[in-house]
Amino acid sequence: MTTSTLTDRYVSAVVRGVPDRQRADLEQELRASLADDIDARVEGGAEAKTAEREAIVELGDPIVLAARYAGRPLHLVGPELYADWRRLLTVLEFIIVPIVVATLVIVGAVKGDTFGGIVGGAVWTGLSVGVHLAFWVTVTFVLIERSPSMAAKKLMIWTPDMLPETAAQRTSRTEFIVETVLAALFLTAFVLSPFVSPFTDAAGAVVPLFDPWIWQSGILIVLVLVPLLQVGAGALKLRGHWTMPYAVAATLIDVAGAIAIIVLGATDHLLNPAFFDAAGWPQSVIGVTNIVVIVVGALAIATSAWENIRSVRRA
Amino acid sequence: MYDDEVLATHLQELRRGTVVLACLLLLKNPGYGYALIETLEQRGFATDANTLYPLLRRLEKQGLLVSEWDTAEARPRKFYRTSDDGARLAELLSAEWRTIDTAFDTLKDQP
Repeated sequence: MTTSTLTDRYVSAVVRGVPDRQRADLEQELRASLADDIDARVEGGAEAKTAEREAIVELGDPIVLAARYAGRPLHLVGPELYADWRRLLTVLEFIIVPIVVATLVIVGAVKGDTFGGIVGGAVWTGLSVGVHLAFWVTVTFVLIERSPSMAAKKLMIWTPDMLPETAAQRTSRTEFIVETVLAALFLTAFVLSPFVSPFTDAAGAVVPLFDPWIWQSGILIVLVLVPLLQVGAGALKLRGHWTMPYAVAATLIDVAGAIAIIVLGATDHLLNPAFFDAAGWPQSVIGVTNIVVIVVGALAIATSAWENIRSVRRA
Repeated sequence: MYDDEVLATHLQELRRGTVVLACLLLLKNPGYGYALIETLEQRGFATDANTLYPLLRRLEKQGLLVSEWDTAEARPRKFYRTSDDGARLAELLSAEWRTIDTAFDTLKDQP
């Protein structure tokens, strides 16, 4: 046989997908079955070429047929493992990505990188880490799915204790009120700070509590916008209009705010040393405050994503 | 009113598994792939070739069918026959089928 027929090509495509030791036997059987089918179609009046084509079309995609012969699953992760896969992936993504992003921001800020450089680098690396996590976790589950001995072992046995909390309206309302009051205090402090202070310098100008760099650099816009948006998000959450797009947007807002205060702390631009001199307060307080602010910012990033997404379920 | 797709899905789900019993009963007399498809269809158990062929091999692997190559004719064919284990399973499955049928009847009879 010099030219390969459609049957040759089909049979070889199917047997390629089954273990070696079954191939010869399967090939012979499949050829006989196809030949029988073609003969029956020709007897029924079909043309030989058409009969062959139709018989093959009926057997369908060789990848599917080979998988059925080999008893391989036709899915990447099946119903047995799906819940484990999803639970593990969610937990890892929401723990590891924020930690990586926060670490990069802190390291970048300490090294004195530019604001854009820090944010760009953190976002890019955060995305890469997220994609890598999803890919490797999935690959692992695909392999487990294909090794019967491992697939038999459940990774986690689900129990009712693992159910998330339901909507506790009272808690949410208290949360919202506290959030709003804090945001109002925060905004008032920042906006009034350049104009109101108990101290003035030799020239009679006001000595603000916060570092004047906050106004000069324009980071003030972030510090004002973020709390306002957070209050808005809190109101939406409380009214139950909370969906995944909102959760993602709210997380980004929280992260932007957290990054801003981390930058302030890390670059020593939060408090004004002149104010401390005038007030006679120890300068060491500034350093301690910087560290506290960095830690709070990092924690805020880590918890924000988790909190916002969880609220989608509660809503 | 449900549509044809819903009907087809439910019928398919109800019939899933009946092909195994049909094969085990039918193959008390040896048969080969293509002929089996035709017989099953005539007997009211229409099955796709790409479902039946892998199924025959799976049942053979489970020891419910045994196979033998018939090379006497021009076209060698693999003949399958129900094993003793297979016959016992067929009896069990038939009994189960009748139990389910009886159970359905009691549901229909309720006031």
